[in-house]
Amino acid sequence: MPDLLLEIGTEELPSSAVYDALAQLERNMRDLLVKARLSHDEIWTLATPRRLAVTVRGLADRASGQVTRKAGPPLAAAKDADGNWTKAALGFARAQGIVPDELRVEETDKGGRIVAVTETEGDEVEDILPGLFSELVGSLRFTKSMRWGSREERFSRPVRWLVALLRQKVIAFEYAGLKSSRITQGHRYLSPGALSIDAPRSYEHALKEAFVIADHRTRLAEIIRAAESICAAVSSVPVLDDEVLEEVVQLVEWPGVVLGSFDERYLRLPREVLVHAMESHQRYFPVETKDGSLSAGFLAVHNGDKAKDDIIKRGHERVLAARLADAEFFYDEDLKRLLADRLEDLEHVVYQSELGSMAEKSRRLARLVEKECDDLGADAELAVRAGRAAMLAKCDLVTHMVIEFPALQGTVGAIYAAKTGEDERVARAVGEQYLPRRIGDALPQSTEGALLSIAEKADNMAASFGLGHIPTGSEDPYALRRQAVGVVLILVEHGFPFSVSRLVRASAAELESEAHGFSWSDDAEAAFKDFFTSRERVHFTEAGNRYDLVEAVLAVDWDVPLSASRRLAALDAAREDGLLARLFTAYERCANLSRDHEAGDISEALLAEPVEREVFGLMRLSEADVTSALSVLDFARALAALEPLCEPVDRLFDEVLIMAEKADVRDNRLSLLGRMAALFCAVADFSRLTWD
Amino acid sequence: MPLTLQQIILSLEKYWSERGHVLAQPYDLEVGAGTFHPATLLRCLGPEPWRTAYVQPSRRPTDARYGENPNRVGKHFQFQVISKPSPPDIINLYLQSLYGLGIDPADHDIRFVEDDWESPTLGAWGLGWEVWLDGMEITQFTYFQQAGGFDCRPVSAEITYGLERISMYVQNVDNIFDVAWNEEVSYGELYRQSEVEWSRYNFEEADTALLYRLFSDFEAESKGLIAKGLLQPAYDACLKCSHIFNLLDSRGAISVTERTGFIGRVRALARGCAQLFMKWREAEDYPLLGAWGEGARSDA
Repeated sequence: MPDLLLEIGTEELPSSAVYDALAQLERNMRDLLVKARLSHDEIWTLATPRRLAVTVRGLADRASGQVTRKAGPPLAAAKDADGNWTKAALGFARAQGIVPDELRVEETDKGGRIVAVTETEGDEVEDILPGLFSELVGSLRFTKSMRWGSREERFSRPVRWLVALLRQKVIAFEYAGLKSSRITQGHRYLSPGALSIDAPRSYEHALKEAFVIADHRTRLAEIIRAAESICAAVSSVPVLDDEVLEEVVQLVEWPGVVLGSFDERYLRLPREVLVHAMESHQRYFPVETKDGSLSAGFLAVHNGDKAKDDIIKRGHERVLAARLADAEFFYDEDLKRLLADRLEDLEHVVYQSELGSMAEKSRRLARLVEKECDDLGADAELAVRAGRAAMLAKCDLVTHMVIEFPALQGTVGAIYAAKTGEDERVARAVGEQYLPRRIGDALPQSTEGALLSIAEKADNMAASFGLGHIPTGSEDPYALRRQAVGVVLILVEHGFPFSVSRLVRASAAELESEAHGFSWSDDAEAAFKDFFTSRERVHFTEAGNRYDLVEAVLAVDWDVPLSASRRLAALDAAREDGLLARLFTAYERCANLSRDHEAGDISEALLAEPVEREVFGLMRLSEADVTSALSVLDFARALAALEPLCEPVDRLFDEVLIMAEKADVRDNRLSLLGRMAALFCAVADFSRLTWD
Repeated sequence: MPLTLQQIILSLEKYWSERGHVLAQPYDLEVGAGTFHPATLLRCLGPEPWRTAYVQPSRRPTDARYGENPNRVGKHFQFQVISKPSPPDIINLYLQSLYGLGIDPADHDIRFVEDDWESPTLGAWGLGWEVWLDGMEITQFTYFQQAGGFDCRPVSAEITYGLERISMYVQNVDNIFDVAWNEEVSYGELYRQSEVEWSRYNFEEADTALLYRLFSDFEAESKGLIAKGLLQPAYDACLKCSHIFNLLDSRGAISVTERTGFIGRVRALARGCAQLFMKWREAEDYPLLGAWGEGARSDA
């Protein structure tokens, strides 16, 4: 049973703010209890749209005591010849608040010293909690916060009451002009008015009597249970999207679930459109028959009286019917024309004034895709399909459906393309152009879709960097960061060895030639390189790679994500089996001495010692091997090709004085070392590697 | 008998008037929302309390649908309420106002769904909700944080009732034009033809060259008037710019990059007017401080 309860009563909080605040409540409560030296067991958080609550079990009655040791005067000065305490010792004891006989004597390396050990008793929990609660409530931070009334405090939505109880007792504190009490509020409509809580252990029960399920986990379980059982009764299955679930849980305190229906004729609309119309704005759950096709029903989670399910259901049905009637109208209107016929409409859609029209963008994409196909040596039919998909890619932007439901761009294009006679693979590529739409989303599966998706992203990046719209901090209005990571993922997944900078430059050149005032500059190119490299850094480290390996790779290879990714895998494997450590030792010896030396040509005549000549010969062999391995992106072989140098390099340093007296011999040796360091760095920037 | 649209207006006017709100009259210029009315945008600035309620015809040229869409029109009617500072029981006050419209919250699914509001042209933003009645959005509810680019201290609560939506719900009709304005005359009788004509104007006929010129002229006028300290005329000219911008937008005459520029120009005017308003109130020594008694001064 919990001993402690804090409830922050609010006006309706956004669901995203609730989850974020609960994590903070738990963490900050724990930190504050530790700081106050209050021992405790479990901390539990729970929330509804109108309350954030935290409970603590096994809370100590008082803070743990604190033992302090304070060293006083040396023993010699603390006792007189007769062994009595001196004035100095008596004064010290008094200052520490203890009687002289409690003083201890301790031996130190400088001789005996008197020490006062005092134990302060911890404060009582009731004295600690008011300050702790004020600090806790004030510690919550929100991505979006607001002020209300005449207050200066900021919270996600206005705070309206505070409940603070230690067992049966109210812990008095204030926040935002509110005094804590035991009075909370039940459900807004089903149980209006004040509700008194006796003790933390009766909190959830008391709220339940007032039509509030305080624990969001319980509400989630209840919603899922109700959804499944209602559907089971009519032999169907709910489609429970996690994001929608997470949100509706925080839109209701007393969840009711109703099964509404809509006119069966709407089932002729594409599934994606129906699902979007239900989920996106209304947060309804679609319903499927046992065979997985959509049925003409939906589930709405509501916050009302279950006895009024019928009224509520009819209301929701009317709202959805209006949305579906719109969608049907859009669908039929849109399909009166071929998707391809809309290309001419795109001539009149301005993308941005410096970037021309959407039709121009379509043509740019088609040329970019063609270039990609050339680079890959793709077969002609594939190139034709990919080019066609590029020309059709933006046509859905001028359909009623996408104007009404912008999130369906691409999806609607694919549906309409297939419906108006395009090759199925062309339609699919149109649908894949915006993938991945978010972190963890699917990637384009078809080659045509992958090529189009890369072109679309390269064009967006070229356009933005050329115009100086560079993502900074939290500002990334065109989601370029996500697009950059998308490019990396697709290139790696499909094994395309494209240079990203080349793609972006090609796109920029197209934009420049269209003469709308767009220009590409060295600054833009440099900014793009910084941006893209930093996205790769985040992507590869978040994928679990060591930071130093990522740096070592990106320093030599940011531009071709496919090879960067393979290089990284080879480095990782070499690090695991110890090869990398051996290579690093050899590299470091070479690099340390030659760092400040300007490497010149190596004169064989000046290589006097046998081991020098041996190293030189091996290095030339390694150079050839490394070059051939790199040309086929075989980084494991490139690393292996460096290994024969390790042992001879060690001998070189043991047997030869590199810093010879004769300048020409010395410079020649340093040039040899420099060239070897450079050879290592052609595979990865070894100077970035770190060893724990 | 369910309430007619005009009875809904009367009920809301009575309700908020009984709670001390000034019944302002609709502003006599084309505006996009009740927020543009000086009784909202200007009065929500500065330290004085303020309470008002009014109907505001609101024009959104891009929402026009030739009178063919059952849910959407280019001109609609908002019922706007401002309470400054926002009272602690404002949500309950709002819910009680629904009883007078024949809506008992206990019979329905009423939800407050996150909706953050921003008007870049007015330099204004706030946090709040859409209020859903059985899934239908019937009201927008916002706590103003900034207006004209200045912090709102104290904060105003803005309640905007969608009169058409509420009427459709209580009258159980699925087409906006079937709404009973009173017992004899429908919404369609009053406004359908106007929707058809304005749709043609907004999308096809509006002379963009004229609109561009008007925008620049009214912008210059507003700037000049701000410099002369003539707040109200300057604000009217600013509102005209805002509406002309909306018309240009619905004609598809403004590209994405130009948009930002236009919005910035209107916002600069709104900011100038906001500044004049605050200076004026300060010069008057804030005569409304103390109005509406303790309630409006509370620390809520």
